[in-house]
Amino acid sequence: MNVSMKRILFLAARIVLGVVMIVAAYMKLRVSWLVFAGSISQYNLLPDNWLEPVARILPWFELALGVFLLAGVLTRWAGLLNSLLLGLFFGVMVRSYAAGLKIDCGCFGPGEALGPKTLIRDGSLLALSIGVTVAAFLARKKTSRGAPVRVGNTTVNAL
Amino acid sequence: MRPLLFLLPVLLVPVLAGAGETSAAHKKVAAEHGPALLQNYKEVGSPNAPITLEIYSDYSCPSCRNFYMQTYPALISEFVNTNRVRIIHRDFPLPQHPFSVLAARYANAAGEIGKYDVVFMQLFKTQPEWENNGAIEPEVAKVLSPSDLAKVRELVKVDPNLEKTVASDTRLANQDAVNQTPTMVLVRNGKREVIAPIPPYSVLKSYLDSVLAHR
Repeated sequence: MNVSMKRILFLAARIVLGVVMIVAAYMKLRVSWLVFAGSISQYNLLPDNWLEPVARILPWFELALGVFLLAGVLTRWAGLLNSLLLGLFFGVMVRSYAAGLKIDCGCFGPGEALGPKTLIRDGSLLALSIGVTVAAFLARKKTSRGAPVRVGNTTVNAL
Repeated sequence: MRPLLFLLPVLLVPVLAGAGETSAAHKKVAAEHGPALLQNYKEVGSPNAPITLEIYSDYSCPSCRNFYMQTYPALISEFVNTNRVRIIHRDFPLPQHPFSVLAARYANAAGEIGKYDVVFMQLFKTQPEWENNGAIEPEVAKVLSPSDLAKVRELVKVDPNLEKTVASDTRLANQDAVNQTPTMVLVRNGKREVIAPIPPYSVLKSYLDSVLAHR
């Protein structure tokens, strides 16, 4: 695979991930935080007094990550945080599904049951996020090791 | 054509007999209970309360049982009894539960003689006893007098209004896009907000308090 193809794939993955995170956040923010609090409570993980702050803050955090990924700003750190967040979600979902809980996923707002479909989708998103993060760190490493960097109209070797 | 006219009474007799039976059951109940024959037995609280919570539930659903055993009593004491919230119960029997419709018939029949609250709570409380075998009546019998039980039994058998009540609630549920139980619809200033899954009471209380404070 040549360099330009890799760049296109990286860009596409970053955009897909960013859009998905923004949509996930929007679906939660368009209804009251109480609905998301209800979804979180079904996982039986957090004490009741944590539900409100998490339900209020988490969608905004998802939105910020989505915007950073889509805009390509702080991609490595946004990707890393995104992977950690999706990894947490995925772990919790697998645990709940294995425990036989018949609950709402809460991934894209209310009304979607936790099941194989949601697990495959979130697992794929996690893999994509890890891929984007690794690619972003590798690109940075190559640049800092002396790969040519374009500055204005001239190409110079990075330090 | 004329022979068909002779058939008409034969066709109408069972229909009229059924109607007579129903109306007789209603008249009997109405005569004995007078004003207690409640139309709005599914509503709890002041009609002037600023918030109405419509709760869709299924008598065989374990989450509904949890809601009615844990959250509902606190809602009644802190919000309904202080005229801040009105609650409307709505039936939404799920197809995977074979005895939910029958349980709803018992609760609604009890409602027609003014005993809705006591019977619907008993049905949720004893859900594990009847949800697999459909033995609802022995559980209802524990909270009703023999004469009330006889009236309820009669209404469950013959009253078509019981089916209409469930059908009307299910129609509303479809309009609200309800797809799970329990589901709560918060109604204020003419706006309907669907809340499902319903969070624990402390979280719900915090939300209701903030809504009431900013109205």
